[in-house]
Amino acid sequence: MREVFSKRLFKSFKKIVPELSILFLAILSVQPQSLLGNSVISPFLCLSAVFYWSLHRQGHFNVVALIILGIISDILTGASLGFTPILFLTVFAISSWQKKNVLLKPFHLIWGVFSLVSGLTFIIAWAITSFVSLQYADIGSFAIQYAMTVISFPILDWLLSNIQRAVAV
Amino acid sequence: MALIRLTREVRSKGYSMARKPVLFSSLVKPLKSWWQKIFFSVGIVACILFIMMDRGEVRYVKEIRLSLTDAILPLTQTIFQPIKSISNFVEEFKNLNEAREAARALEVQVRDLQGELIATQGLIAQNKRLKEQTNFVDFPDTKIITGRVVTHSGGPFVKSMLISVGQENGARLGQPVMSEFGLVGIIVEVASSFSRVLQITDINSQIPVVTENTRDPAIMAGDNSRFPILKFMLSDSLMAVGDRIVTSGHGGLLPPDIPIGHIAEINGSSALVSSLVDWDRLDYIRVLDYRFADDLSQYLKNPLD
Repeated sequence: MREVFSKRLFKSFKKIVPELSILFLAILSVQPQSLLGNSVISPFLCLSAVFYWSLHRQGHFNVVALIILGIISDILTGASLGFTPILFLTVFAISSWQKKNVLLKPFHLIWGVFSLVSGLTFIIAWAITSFVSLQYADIGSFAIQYAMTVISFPILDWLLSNIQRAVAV
Repeated sequence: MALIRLTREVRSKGYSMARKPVLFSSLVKPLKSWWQKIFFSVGIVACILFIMMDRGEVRYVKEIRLSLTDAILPLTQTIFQPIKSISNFVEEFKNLNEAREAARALEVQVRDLQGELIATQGLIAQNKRLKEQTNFVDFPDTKIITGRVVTHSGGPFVKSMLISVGQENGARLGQPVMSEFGLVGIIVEVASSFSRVLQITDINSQIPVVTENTRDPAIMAGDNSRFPILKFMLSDSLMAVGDRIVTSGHGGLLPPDIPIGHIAEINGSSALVSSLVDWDRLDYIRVLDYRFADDLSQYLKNPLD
């Protein structure tokens, strides 16, 4: 009986691993003096995680969860409510759209697609930030974060693929 | 006839002569279930509406935001407490070797400062006497509330942080927040146990400042980069690279002469300011309980009064 319960619990846990990993990264990225350092610009790790799980776990990975995770991220960072969900949904929609063309391709091609998708997302983010504040936001810091996000993608991809294998999501 | 047959053949094999345009419907198509499609479309519209309402400072959105933050914040602190403890322990262990040398250097500094303290005490007494003689009306005394940084956004979208000083501890809207060296920002949201600070580097931050020596006024505006910009400088301004920038106190929101930074670069009618705050190691902060800010927060609550 106890075994059945623990199996069920593990099964439920497996289902929410993508959401939990994004939540963890969202909290990690706002921690002062965290593992990433309290740097002014750090990679947008959640975006990489959304891209990864959209490709590899689209079946269970749903839109509502992304909106909730985006709102939690907005609350933690202080961005306008609804800002991060738009970015998450953009990445989710594009990667779902191109999933068949990307999934079984070599890693460098997936990385290239991610750099394009995240590039578009950062342009949207810059446009919203500038529109909301009625002035041009500094494009340099966006470019730096974009570069850091793209550079850090292989590490995050490796980490998430290991998690995926470990829990056989 | 042959062309029509060829076109039909191409169509039947699923080839297309022209590239299909990217439509919203083609983006939504791969989302499997119908409710995912609905949520995606509704989600995008709702997010845009939320951004507009949040920006327009709609009361309900602010209340939702505050209550959600109150609920989520303890959770994040609990999750990261073990990791923080381990990283603090490792850092302290690393610093152990440097402690002896630092202690020696501090002993020398203390001796020097004791000498300076005697001179400063004399100057304070002299200053007090002169103020009494000239009936000088001073700014109100400022109480200090010390707290810690709870979250610190590291992205280029917004520059804000949550601090552990809330309404219970005396935090009010508009109060300035300082590190040990300079101005960090201004409180823009207050909940019972925490507050949100809008950093001086944020794109929405605008602060009246002056240069410490020449008293040239300007407005310091953030642009989400590390270096806030000085705008509306005087045409005959005497500002130079390296000059110290302090708050002017104009408008009554901030006390005057809070140190902010140094001028790093001058480009014609604007200049870049290098902040005194060490953003990478910002941990403890001080909230200045300034009376004018308190009055202003009451005004903001009841603007019609």
